[in-house]
Formats: sequence, structure tokens, C-alpha cells
Amino acid sequence: MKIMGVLLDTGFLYGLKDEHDPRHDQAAKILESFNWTEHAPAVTTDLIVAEVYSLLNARSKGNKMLFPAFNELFWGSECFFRIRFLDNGDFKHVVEILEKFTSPRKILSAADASLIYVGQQASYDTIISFDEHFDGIISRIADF
Amino acid sequence: MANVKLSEKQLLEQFQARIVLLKGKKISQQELLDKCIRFSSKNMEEFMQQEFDAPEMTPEKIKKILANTVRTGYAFPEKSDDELLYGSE
Repeated sequence: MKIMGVLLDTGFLYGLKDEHDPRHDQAAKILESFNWTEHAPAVTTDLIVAEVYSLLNARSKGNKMLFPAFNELFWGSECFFRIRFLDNGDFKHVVEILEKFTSPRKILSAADASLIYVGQQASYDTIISFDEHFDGIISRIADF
Repeated sequence: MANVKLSEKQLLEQFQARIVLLKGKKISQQELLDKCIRFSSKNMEEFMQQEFDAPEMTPEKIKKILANTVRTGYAFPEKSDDELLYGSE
């Protein structure tokens, strides 16, 4: 039986929580409309989690009061996805993916590459992302 | 001390063989298991995420997520996420 998991990218996870993010409504609509049962488990990586916190820090200019809402999403009662923690062995493959798919026109981040790697490993073919970097690599959901 | 039955005995032996190759010295299965337990208890969050069932979506979680939002002020709106984090598009 094919597992139809789904990968979650930075912009979607961040957008869910920040009402001032122009993609907040889009992220909320996906959250409410996507068939999570059919696409389980939802997965992200530790590098994506790190990106979300970095983004929060930058967009809020370091407002620490806003961290608990994100902590609840990643580590608390709101968490609806698995976080894949990469180890030494994984990184070699992440860098291979970075080398394979990055180009002067499409600069992938190592975090992007980590999602592609985890997706390939688990045969997941869908990602929820607002980032066009994934186009042509994996099927992307950005709207509903 | 009570005995503990292992269902992953073969995996333990393979793991032990790999450690011997990497470290260049022998390590007993007892020592290896002790180290695994110490590592897992130090990295509890990761262990729970990796080894236990993935969290599931529920209607209550959707409500909670959307009720518990923040307003950052969205600094540097002219910059995309990648520009902000990495300095390039």
C-alpha cells in the first residue's frame, strides 16, 4: 500500500501562525480544507523548523513574546506532523540533492533540499509550499 | 536484574558490527545498549518524534492553531522569506 504522506514547508508553517503574513489566509484555508487523513503522516524536517524560528525572529524584530505560539505548534498540543531530525548519514544525501537541483536560476536552501530528501526516502510526492523552487521536482500544493 | 527479551537482536548485532568498523575497537552489546538508552533519554523529544506514532490532525487542533496566532508586524515586507534569511532570492 502506498503511503500518501505530505511534506510541509517553511512558508506554510510560518503563515499559519502569523496573521500579518500575506499568506496567512491562504495557509489557514489549506489547513482547514486539505485531506490530512488521506495524506498522513504530514512531515517536516528540523532544518525547516529552524527556518520558521529564524523567520519569526526576523519578521518580529526579535519579539520573544511571540515564541510560545510557535512552540505550541512544533512541540505542544497543536502539533499535527512529524519532525524528521537529520543525522550525519542524512546530510550527505541532502548535499547531493542540493548539488543536483540548485542552479544560478534556482537557488535551493539546504532546508529545501532536506524536504526533497525526506520525500524521496519515504516516496512522498506532495509538498505544501509557497516556494516555487520545488516546481518540477515535487508536486506542490499552494492553494485550495 | 530481570532479563529483557530483544526483538531486534539481529539489528543490534549489525549495529555492533558497524560500530566496531567505525571505532576500530570492540564494544559489547551491553555497553552499546547502555549508550543507546543514555542517548535516547538525553534526546527525548527526538526519540518520541521518531519512534512513536506521528501526531494526527483533528478538528480541535485546527481550531487551536488558528486561535493561537501572532501579529509580528511583518518587518521587511519588501523582502521574500529567502531574501530575508539568506540574502538572495
